Amino acid sequence: MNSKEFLLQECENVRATLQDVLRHDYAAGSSQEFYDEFCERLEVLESILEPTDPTDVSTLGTFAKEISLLSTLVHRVERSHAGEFPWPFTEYLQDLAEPLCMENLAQNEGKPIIRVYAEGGLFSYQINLEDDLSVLNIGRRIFTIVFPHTLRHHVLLHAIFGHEIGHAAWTIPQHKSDLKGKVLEPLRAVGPLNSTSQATAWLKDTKAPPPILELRDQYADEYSEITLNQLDSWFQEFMCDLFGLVTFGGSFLAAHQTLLLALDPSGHRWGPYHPPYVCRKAMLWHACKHLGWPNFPSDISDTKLRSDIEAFVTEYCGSPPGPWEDIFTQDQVAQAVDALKDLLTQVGTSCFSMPDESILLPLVRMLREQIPPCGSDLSGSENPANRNVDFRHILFAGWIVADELAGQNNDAGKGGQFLVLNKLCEMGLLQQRAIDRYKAAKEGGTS
Amino acid sequence: MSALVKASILANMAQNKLVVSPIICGSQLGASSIDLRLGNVFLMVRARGIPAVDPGRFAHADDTAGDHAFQQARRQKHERYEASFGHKFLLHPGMLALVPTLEWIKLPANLQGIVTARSSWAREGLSIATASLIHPGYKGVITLELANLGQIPLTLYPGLRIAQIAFYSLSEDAKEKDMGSRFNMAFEPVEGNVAHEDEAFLP
Repeated sequence: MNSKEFLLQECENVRATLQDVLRHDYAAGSSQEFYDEFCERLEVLESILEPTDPTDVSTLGTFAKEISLLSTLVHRVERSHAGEFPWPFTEYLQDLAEPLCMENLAQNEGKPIIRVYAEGGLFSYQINLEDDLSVLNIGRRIFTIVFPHTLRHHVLLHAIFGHEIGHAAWTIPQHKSDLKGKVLEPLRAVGPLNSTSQATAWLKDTKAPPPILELRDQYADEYSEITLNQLDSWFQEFMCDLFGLVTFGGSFLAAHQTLLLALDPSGHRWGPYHPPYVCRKAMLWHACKHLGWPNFPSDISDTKLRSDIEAFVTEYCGSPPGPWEDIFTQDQVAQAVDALKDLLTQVGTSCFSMPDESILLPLVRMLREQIPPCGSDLSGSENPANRNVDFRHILFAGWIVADELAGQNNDAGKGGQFLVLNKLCEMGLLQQRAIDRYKAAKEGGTS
Repeated sequence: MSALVKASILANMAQNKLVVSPIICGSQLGASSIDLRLGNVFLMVRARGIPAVDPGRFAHADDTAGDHAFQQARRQKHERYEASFGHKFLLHPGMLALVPTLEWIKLPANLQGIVTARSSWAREGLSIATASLIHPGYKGVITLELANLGQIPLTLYPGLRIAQIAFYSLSEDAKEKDMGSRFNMAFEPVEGNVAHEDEAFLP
């Protein structure tokens, strides 16, 4: 069997596996769009492979990669069984990300096909969009949302997906160009990361904090210089952090800090793809300041809630950064945030806005009483006036109460309390989805 | 013990003693009951899971993560599905499924709840007759034990109104020490323990 014959055989294998995965429920609604897309891709692949000369190693190599991609995607579908994810959160996330991931492709108005699966541990949060459509010239991208298996129902941590939405947007050419020109340009214009030589000098600065000096000594050979690719990757991370902040708001700040400090408790490690956490937090501090969030508690009249939000702001918005990690000016960050908000608004992705006290206080009270937080009318009215509540406000309320519990002098069972809070919020999202669905149907819309 | 009428149910809710959340629409409120909706988790008995439900197997087992055989048998008893709204769930004749309500319930110390099927679904063969008593002080979703007693499969969807709860006032408040339940703060159905406190009668 030569390579061409084997690749054609592998197309058949992928097709057989595709049939087999139909045994599973792997989509909230229908698995048809994924199935149809795959059948079409396999047909196109076979039609190109059939007339290919068996000695044309270049073409065969290209299509081997395509077949490998298809088999990987089918394999992932096997893990997309219903029951592995927080469906209500996933649906809200899809609503948020879909307008951004639409593009001017050949078919179906460029709407991506969204698949969800759970895999891996803390590092596994991902939203992947296929980044190259040129080979098969197919009209739709397949968009995969990956939850860490162990954290799949920890909805408070899922606010980190705001960052992942940024990576997904970056793979779409029209957004990439805008993001480079409007969001990254102000960040890259001046400062210690302005060039590879400046960045290397900054990392070698003798005034860097002690953990950096230790790490620098430890990794001297490995990361003695910052390369352009590394710098590009770092800026993409900074941009994605702004995506997270602008799309998920306060809950993103808390999830970002909790997850990243769990992976790097010192907050000073860096790598080829990720800048030190302390620099990311410093940038977010400027962004929060620009958005006016540190002043948000002064708008709250309820004393207890105000003090809880003050504690939240202190914990997650942070304090003025030290000179070494403060690599962007307030003006640079403000320009980037405003440009990003404009871009998101243009495509129809809603940005996070701080909730009014009239929205936040009932959610927080429900959580304190161990009732799932949502827009449910608990007043005992004969005609309940349930409210539409932004799912991000439910997550924000969850983090405020999580912080409140963490501040209590009772270490016992804190992990359990956080799990219960996550479950309450997940249940709240489900109930809110039901309220939204009913109201939309009543108003004659779709849900 | 007397049943609460709608006005009393609503008064208890207004005073934050009783919680049923969310009540999606006013038509869920009956003269002396509240309709309950189907949640989105389904526990279904797995045909190849375990040979029999044997209380003797539970009686001397260590109900902690350390007892592999016990934990495995327990987990293999059911298949678990989680579905979004609009996702279909078929309940075949003779089949038993454990499902949660969409609503979160919180009962005060002086009320107990009785859960029954809605009559429109009961007429189609849907039974939720077992374990219908909700103790005072309970907090969480309610697990419904759905069985199809009819001859044809029933198609169910999360969010449908399938059950109802009536509330009864007690002669006095239940004692704090009596109100604990193994199923308190339930977010979804879990397996019970049919041997609990009956070890003396088991081999």
